[in-house]
Amino acid sequence: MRPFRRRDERFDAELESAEARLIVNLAAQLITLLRDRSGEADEGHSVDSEGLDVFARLEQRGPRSISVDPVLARLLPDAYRDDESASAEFRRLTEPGLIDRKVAQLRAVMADLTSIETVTEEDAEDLPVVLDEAGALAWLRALTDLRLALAARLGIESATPRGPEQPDEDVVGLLAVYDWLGLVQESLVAALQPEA
Amino acid sequence: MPSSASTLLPTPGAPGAAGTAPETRRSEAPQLRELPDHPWALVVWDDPVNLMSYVTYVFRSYFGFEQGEAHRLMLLVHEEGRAVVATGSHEEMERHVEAMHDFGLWASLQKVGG
Repeated sequence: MRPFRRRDERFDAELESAEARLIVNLAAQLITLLRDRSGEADEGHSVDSEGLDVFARLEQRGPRSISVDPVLARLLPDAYRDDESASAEFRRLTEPGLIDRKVAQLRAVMADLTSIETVTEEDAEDLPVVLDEAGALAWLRALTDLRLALAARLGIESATPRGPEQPDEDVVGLLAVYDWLGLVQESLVAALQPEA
Repeated sequence: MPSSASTLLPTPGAPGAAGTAPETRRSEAPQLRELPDHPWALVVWDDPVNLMSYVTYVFRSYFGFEQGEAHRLMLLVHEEGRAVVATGSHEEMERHVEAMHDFGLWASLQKVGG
């Protein structure tokens, strides 16, 4: 991976195809979870079986009320901390739109990555990602949501998480993905800083 | 502050003030409380996930803060666990909360002093 940098009005990076597939896979899983929450079936994006079903695993956890699902609770937080009914009313009015926008951002990232995969040779090492400013903003928010979801999944509660004494392979792998997405995002934030 | 409060009352004997009892109105501190236009606060809470640079970016790009002020507010959130980032009307703060949730920041609104 070569991190994002600004080139005139464009933001470009290079991802290995495995890295691109990983982001696509995680985004598809998060879309499924969000769509499930909003009661809409996600059409046209079946999660491929490659890799971990990170967020799908939550589906085995019974009723998906916000309070028991840490990923949804973090992505769609209460607006009023001390007023349950005001929070519920706010949620009723705003949650569908919030979910739609989050899904649209994730889809935009998937589309950017799948389009470069199809136009580039299959085994090409580095896939160029080139974004305009609107694309960069969608990536920024989508990367945030993916990191928040992974963190909730991993139970990250401090900025310098310590895993369990003997973490299983999945956890080690996901922590690495989480850190890596942070690097990608950090480079994009830096590239978006106004030029001095 | 009765003396300053009284300056907000209608001049005794002025037209239209006849029907209101000055004593009652003077005791109504709400006369003053109605003045502030900022009864609601937007609170942003610290979380271990969002990058400091990203939070600063959001404060700068969404609220239009200068880089220095955005950075100061970000540090306040980080060090105090939360910070009031904006105050205003109920509707305005609800819009801000929704926008913060779009950005993936952890935000809520509450009454000022509440």
